[in-house]
Amino acid sequence: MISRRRFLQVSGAAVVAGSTLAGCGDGGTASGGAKASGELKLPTYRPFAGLRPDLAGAETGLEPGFLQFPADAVASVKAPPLKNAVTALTETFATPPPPMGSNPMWQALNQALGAELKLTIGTDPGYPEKFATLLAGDSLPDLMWLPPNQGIPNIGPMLEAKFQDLTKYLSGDAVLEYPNLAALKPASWRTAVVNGKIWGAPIPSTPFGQVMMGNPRTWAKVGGLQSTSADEFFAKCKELSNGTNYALEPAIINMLHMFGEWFGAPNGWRVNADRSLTHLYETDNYRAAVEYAAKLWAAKVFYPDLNLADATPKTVNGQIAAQVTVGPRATADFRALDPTLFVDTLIPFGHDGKAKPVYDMGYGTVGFTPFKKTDEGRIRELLALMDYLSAPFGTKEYLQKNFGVEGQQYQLDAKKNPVLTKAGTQQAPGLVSALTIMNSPESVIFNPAFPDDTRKIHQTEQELLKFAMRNPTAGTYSDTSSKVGPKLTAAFRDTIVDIVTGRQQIGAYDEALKRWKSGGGDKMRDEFAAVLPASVPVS
Amino acid sequence: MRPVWKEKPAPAYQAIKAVVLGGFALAIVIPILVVVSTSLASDQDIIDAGGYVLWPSHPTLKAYETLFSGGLMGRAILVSVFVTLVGTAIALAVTIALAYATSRPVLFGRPVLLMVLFTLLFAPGIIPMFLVVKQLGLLDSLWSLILPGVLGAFNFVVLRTFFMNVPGELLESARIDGAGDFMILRRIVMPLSKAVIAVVGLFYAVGFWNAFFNALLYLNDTSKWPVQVILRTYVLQGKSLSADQLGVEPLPQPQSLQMAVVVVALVPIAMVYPFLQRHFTKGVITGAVKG
Repeated sequence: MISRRRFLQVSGAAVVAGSTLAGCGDGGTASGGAKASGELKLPTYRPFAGLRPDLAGAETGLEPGFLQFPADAVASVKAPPLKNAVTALTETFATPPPPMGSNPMWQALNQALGAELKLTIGTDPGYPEKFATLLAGDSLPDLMWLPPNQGIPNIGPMLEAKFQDLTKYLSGDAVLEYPNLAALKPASWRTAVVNGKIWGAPIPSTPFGQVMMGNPRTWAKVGGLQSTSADEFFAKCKELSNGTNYALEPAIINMLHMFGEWFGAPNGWRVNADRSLTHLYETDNYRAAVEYAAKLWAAKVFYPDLNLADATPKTVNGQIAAQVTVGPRATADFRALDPTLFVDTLIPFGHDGKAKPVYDMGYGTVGFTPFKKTDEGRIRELLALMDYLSAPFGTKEYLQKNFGVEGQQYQLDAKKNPVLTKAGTQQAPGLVSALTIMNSPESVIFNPAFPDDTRKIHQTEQELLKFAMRNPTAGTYSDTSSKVGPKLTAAFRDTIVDIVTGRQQIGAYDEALKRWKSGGGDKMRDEFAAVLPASVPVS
Repeated sequence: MRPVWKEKPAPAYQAIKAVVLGGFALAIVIPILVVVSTSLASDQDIIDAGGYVLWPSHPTLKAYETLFSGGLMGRAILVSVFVTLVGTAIALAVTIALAYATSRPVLFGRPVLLMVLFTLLFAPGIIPMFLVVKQLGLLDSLWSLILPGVLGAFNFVVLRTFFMNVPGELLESARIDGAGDFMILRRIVMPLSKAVIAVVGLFYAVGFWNAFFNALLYLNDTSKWPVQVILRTYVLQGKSLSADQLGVEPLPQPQSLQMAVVVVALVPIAMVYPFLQRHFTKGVITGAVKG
């Protein structure tokens, strides 16, 4: 529902803010707090019963599919949640919305909520700085979206010092008072737990991770995108590349992610039989993927401009044959450019045609939104707001939040799907993006203009789930990782991009790995291993 | 024999010069052409070109219509114009006054004052700045974009150095005629320094026009955002609408929207430049060889 493209891109970005939050504490909670994160009683999961999707979802991660918007949207909330105005810091990943005063959709939402929802809208990059200054200036709004991947440091001490512990309102059956929050999956809740306490409602995105997508018209020349071995894929790429057209977009790291899956590299960390952890970079599988990528680069199948920002138009017109997207639902990005184009999603295969590949599931949420410290009455009011804004797809509240008011911001098309009016396209995007990034229901597959796509994506997701692997550390917490993780990752990635593009030899890999380990990688391993939940399987 | 600079250059040399200079000119013109073309391109042009367009075959103003339809952009331009005009005026007044005062040898305690001003060359850091702006009660006010930037240390140094080169005899004779410091500054020093004041003014104006980071930090109300913040959000954020939110009318491609914002942000400064260019050259050259 949000534009996740940009969001996922930043996950690779280096830390910008540095140690700007140093004033909030000395980071002293370390692994004691991390240990507690593994032992908390998560909120009871009770899916929303008021709606039946056309294609069933599953707790494994399979997203339910809706072929059209449910007729007669049901209400999921009994009363307007607010009595007093609420301020919130959030971020928009779309074009900025008209301000509240001249935005009827925003005003209508306020009316439905019962009081004003005043959003301070940040942008990316710049969000961590905005976050840090508000914190340092002690000018905290009631709610502040906390992204897991923009390098905001010292999360544990910061939460303890400035934000409200919500555990007793949400843990176990307590959450049932807020039915829409109870409909969020345990896997999502795990990402809202730090130091063994719940700090906010998680914001589900999609449980799926990156996939490779290709233009079927381009790939038809070589028998289609699907391949059975790395050699076959290599041969196809070579055939498709001729100096003006190229097989692959130049996003080396993302492409490596795909190759790694074929070579059996783990999702983040590998859990060994003795419950110890091995990082992705330490595996021979990933190293083999790097060598494979270097071979592809040498064969000139990558589009040569490493700075290409968005490959989508080039994939549509055939200049590039395949690119990596945020997940199986991204087929819609291509439909937006060319309504006649439904791109193929590559299902991972074993590199030698025999080995079992891996498919990496995603983080699953875009973090959570903690509350400023306050009294119980206010906490309950804010939780009711979270409950409202987390209303599941197809409910009245969902319509209000995402589409506004019928006849003003949206109208129903021939198939009874809500379609934004001209006013809606002006008022909605930035506002909806800002609301969705701070609160969301569990994701669904919904392509109103192309219901068949929904069926196909649902099918693809089931294929992918056969090889699915979750990051064993997702939802646990390592202080070292949040402090130096992004920096270490960026440094290591610089080296592998050099290796792939031929600026350095593969020998540099070991050097970079050594630096990664001594720079904090080993410490992260210890911290994650100490809190590895017993439920995580050996990989 | 005629001096070498009066010789007519050989045609071959002329041709080489033309090619090299033409190459440089193209390197500057083509990116600008791409920006303008892409802003006018239709969806089909963008798909055909695979992104940025060199020449739109189906030109359309859709991107500009979209941009100005929400009302956000029009307001942002007003904000930016206000901040730039008022900011430049105040900044020039403050900088000229300070530069004049410190350029006169009679001022008491000048070395100490200069040391203090020297520290202004260093940026204070995001959070200390934020705290100062907050304590001055400027948060969420357009003055937070103006006041922190009214004294640029570099501009101050340039102006002061220039003022110090104004011959002391001129000022003395003015004083004998009964002129006070204000009169001297207004009637003698400033007219003599028009060129350098124009340059410094331009530096300030471009600075105020381009400033976005302060706006990100100090303004919570999107209706007060200047053009550059809007520009940034458009350029950095890709998609405008997600797949499950259909509109009756599809929005233009992000590439053309982005480039339209770039054009909107560029045009005002580009329009002012030619008028100041004359002073600009003069202001810079006078520093080196005074004729």
